[in-house]
Amino acid sequence: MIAQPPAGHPGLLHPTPSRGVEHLLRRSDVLGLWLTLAGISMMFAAFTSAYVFRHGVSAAWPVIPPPKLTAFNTFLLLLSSAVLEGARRLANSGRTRAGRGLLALAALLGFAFLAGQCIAWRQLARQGITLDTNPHSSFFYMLSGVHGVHAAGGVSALLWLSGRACLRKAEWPFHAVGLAAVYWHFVGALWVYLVVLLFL
Amino acid sequence: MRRAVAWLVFWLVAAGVVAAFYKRVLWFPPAVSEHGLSMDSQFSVSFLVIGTLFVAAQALFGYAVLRGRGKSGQPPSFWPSNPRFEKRLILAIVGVFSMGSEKAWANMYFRKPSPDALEIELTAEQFAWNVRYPGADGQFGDTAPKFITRANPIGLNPSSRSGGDDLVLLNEVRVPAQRRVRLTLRSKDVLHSFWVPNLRLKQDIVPGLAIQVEFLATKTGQFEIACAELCGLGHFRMKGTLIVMEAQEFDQWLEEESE
Amino acid sequence: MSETHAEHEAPRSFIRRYIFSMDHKVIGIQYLLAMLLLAVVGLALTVVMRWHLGIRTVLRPETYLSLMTMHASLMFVVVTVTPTSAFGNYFLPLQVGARDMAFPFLNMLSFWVALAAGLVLLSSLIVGAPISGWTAYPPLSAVGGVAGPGLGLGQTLWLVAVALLCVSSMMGALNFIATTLNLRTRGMSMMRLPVSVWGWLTAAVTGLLVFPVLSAGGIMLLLDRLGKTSFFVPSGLYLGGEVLPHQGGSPLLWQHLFWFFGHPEVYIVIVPSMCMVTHIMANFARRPIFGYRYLVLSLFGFVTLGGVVWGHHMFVSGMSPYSGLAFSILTLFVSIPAAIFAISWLMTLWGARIQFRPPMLYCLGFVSLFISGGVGGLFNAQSSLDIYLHDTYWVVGHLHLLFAMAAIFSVFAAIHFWFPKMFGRMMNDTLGTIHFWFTLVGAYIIFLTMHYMGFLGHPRRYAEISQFDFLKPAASAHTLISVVALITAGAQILFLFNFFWSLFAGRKAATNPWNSTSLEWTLPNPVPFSNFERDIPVVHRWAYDFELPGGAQDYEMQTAPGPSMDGQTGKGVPTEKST
Repeated sequence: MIAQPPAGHPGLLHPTPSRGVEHLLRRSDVLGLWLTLAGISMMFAAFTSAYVFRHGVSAAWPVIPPPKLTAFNTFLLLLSSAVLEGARRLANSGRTRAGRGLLALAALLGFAFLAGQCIAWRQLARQGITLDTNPHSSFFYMLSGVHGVHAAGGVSALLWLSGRACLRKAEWPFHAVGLAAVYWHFVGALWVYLVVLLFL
Repeated sequence: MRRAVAWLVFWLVAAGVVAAFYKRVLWFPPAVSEHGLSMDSQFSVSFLVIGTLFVAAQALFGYAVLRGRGKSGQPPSFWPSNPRFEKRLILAIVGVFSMGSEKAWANMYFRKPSPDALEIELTAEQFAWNVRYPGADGQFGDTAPKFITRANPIGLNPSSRSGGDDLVLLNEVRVPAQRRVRLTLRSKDVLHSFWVPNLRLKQDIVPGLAIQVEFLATKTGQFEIACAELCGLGHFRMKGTLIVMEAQEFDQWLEEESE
Repeated sequence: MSETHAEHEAPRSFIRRYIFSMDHKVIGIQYLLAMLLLAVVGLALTVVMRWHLGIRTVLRPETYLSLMTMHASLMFVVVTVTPTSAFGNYFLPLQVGARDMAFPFLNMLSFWVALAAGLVLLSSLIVGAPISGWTAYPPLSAVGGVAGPGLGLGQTLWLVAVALLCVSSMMGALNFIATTLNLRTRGMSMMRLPVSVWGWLTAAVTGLLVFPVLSAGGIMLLLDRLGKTSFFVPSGLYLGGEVLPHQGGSPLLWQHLFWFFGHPEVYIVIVPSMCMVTHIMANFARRPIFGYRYLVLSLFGFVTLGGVVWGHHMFVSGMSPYSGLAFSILTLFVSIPAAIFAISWLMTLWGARIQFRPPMLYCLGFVSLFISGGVGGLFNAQSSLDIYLHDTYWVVGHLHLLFAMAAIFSVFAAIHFWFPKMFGRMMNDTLGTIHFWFTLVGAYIIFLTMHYMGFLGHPRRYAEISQFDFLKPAASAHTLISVVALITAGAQILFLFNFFWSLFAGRKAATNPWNSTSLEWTLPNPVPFSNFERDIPVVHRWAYDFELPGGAQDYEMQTAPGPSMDGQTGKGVPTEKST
C-alpha cells in the first residue's frame, strides 16, 4: 500500500506547482515506467511459454545458428547500457558536461545495435534462413523483431534526450535520464534473456 | 399492485419451468451410451442443487427488494445471512460438484484403452466426415496429404500393404451395440468437433493430432452426428449419421461391405 | 508529459478542447459516445441475425457467420471499454480527488487508438468480415481466404483491430493504476476509496497483465497469415485442392494464449461493472455497503483465480484430461468471491428503504442477472457436464447473461446515475423505468431460452438448423427468441431517445441530485476544467455513511468531518477517526 502523502500539503496537484507536486508527478512517472516494464515482461513471458509449448509439440526441432554478429551486437547493447549508467552517475554527481558526451555515446551505441541487428537479419537471409524456414527461425525473427521495436523506442528517447542535453546546456534532464536508464537496462537484460532462450 | 404483479409473474414462470422439466418437455435427447447415463445423473443432481440455489437466491433477493422499509438509522434486527453458514455451503457445493463431476469425467477419460474395442477412424474435412474401418487385417493403412484426390479423400497411400482392405465410407458411422468402440479423430483442414447429443459425446478434432475417444452404445437406432466447432461457411450442414446395430447384424454388414 | 497538467490551463481552441483533448472528462465522454455508436451497430447486426434465424432465412451462411463475428467483436470492445474507459476516465480522478489522470497525453492517445481499433473493425465489415468467430481459432483464421470467405483481408484487419485495442487498453491501464495509487487526495486512504474505484483499479491491473499476452498471440497469428510461419498451423493441411506449406504448428497453442487472456477479460468487464453497481446501489438503498473489506479482498480473489482457470474453455479441445480436472475444480472456486459480492448486495438491501429510481432498477436487474448467470456457470464449470454443454447455445445464453446483459445493465445504471454530473441534466425517470422492464424481461426470455436450446444439444454458430432432425424442436424456440429480441432491440430506442433528448432538454440537475457522498458530487455542474477550483478537499470518511444515527440528513459527504461507519462491516457504532 502506498504511503499517505505528506501532511500539511493542501491536496495533490495544486494549481501552483510546489516541490511536493513535482515529487508526486515524478513518482507517477516512475510507477508508470515500472508498470510498462511489467506489461512488456508479460508479453515476453507469453512468447516464452509459446516457445516452450511449440518446442514440446515438435518431433524435430532444427536450430538455426546464431547470426555471426550476435555476440558483437549484444556487446554493443550492454556497453550502451553501461555508458548510459555512467552518464547518469556523472550528471548526478554534478559533472553534467562529461555526462552529455556519454549520453550521446550511449544513444549512438544503441543506434549501432539496431543497425547491427538489421545486418544480422540480412546475413541470415543470405544464408537462406528466413522467417518461415523452421519454427526456431520464426521465433528468432519474431522475438528479435519485437525486441527491436522496443529498443527503437529506447534509442529514440536517448537521441531526443542527448539532443536536449546538448541544446539546453543549462539544465540537465535528471528525471528523464533516470527513467530512460531503467528502461534501457531492461531492454539490454531482455536481449540477453532472449539470446539465452534461443541459442543456449 | 406492482408488487403483486411481480410476484405473480415470478411464480408463473417458476411453475411453468418446473412443469416443463417434470413432463420432460425440456430435456435432453435420450442417452444411448454407457457414460451418458452417469452424465445424466450428474445433471439431475446439479439441477436439484443448483435449481434450489437459484430459486432460493432469487427469492431472497426479491424479498429483500420488495419488503424494504427498515427503520431509519438502525440496522435491521435480523440479518438474512450468516457468513459462516454460507462459507460452509459454498465449500460443500464445490466439494459435491467436484466429486460427482470429476467421477463422471474420470469414467470417461481415465480408463485404460480396452484391448478388444472396435477401431474406427474418422477424418473430418470441410464439411464432411470420412469414416474408415481397418478391414480384415485389423490394421489401418498409412495416409499422407499428398495422396489426397477426389477418389481418395483421406489420402491413403496406394502402396500401403495394410491399406488395401481398408473400408472408407462417407458421413455414415456404423457401430455394434454393447461393444466398446474406439474412435480415432483426425482432421484434414481446420478444427471440427465430433458431436453426438445422444452419445453425450463431444470431442474437438484438431488437425495434426489423432485424438482417441471410446464409447459404448447401449441402444440400437440412428443418431445424428453434428459438427460443434466452427469450421467455415458450411459448419451448419456438416452432418453425419451414427447407426447403432445389433452385433450380429453389424458383423454381417461389415463382411458384405468388405467384399 | 505529465508536467503539462500541473500547470495546464484550459485550452481555448475547439479542437484542443473537445477533439484532441487531454482532459479526462472530455475523454470519458468521447469514449462513451464512441462506444454507443459501436453498440448501435452491434445491435443492428443482432436484428438482422435474429430475423434470419427465427423469422425468415435471408442470409447466406457465410454472411451470417460474418455478421455473427462482427457482432461479437464489436460488443466485446463495447463491454471491455465502456465500464472502465468511459466511466473510469470521467469519475476516477473525481472520486479520488485528482485534477486529472496521471498521464493526460497517454490518456488522449489511448482514446484515439481505441477509436482507430473500432474503425478498423468496422472497415473489416466493409471489405468482408471474417467468419471465424470472435475467438478466431486457427487454422481457420490462420491460412487465409482458402479456408472461407472473409478470411483474407477481413481477418487481417480484424487482427490489426485487436492489436490496436491491446495497445489502447494497456495505455489506459497505466493511467488508472498510477492515478489511483499516487494522486489520491489527503485522507483518501485505499480503504476509503469508493468501491467503483477499486473496480476500475482491478480491471486495470488485470488488463495490464493479460492484454500483452493477447498481443503476443496476435503477433504470432499475423505472422502465420502474412509470413507463412507455423506457430499455430500444423503440417499437411489440405485446403482448396492443395497441401499447405506450413509445418508442425499447434492450434491448441492459440487457444491457451487466447483464453489466458480471454478469461481474465471476463473479469475486466464484470468486476468494474459489479463495483459500479455496488457503489450506486448503496446510494439508493441509503445503507452502508456491507462488508467493504471483504469485497476488496474478493477482488484479489477474482484477479488470482482469473489467471488460473482459462482451461475451462478448453475441456473438449483435446487438452490433457488431467488439466481438465484441475481447471474444473479451480473454476468452481470462483463461486467464492462471486458469492461474497452477492451476499454483500443482499445484506445491503436487507431492510433498506430503497428508492426505485432508474439507476437502482438497473442495479437490481444486474444483481438478478448476475445470480442467474452465476448459478448457471456451476453447470458448465463441471468438466463432465461441459462435454455436453460446450459450444452449444447453453454457453451463448450463459455468456450473454453475464458478459453482455449484466455488463450492459451496469452501464445503463452508470449512465442514468452520472448523467447529471456529466451533462448537467437529468434523464427522464419514466422512460428509464419502461426501458428497464422491457430490457430485463426481454433479456431473460431470450437467454433462458438459449439455455434450453443448449439442453437440446444445439451447437452454436449454426447459420441454419434445417439440416438436423434433433434441432427441429429448436425452431419454435428460435422464433420466440427472434420476436422477443426484435421487441427488446426496439425498446433500446427508448434509451437512445432518452439519452439524446435529455442531453438538450432534460431537467437541469442540482449539484448533488441523488444526495450522494463521493467527491464528484461536491463539484458544480458543469465540472470545471481543473475539477476542483481551489484546493482539493480533504477526505474524512469512506463513501458510504448513509443514515448515521443522529445525523441531520441521511448521508454525510466524504468531505464532512465527524463520526463515521468507516471500515465497519455494517453493524457496530460510528466512531470518530483522525484523518
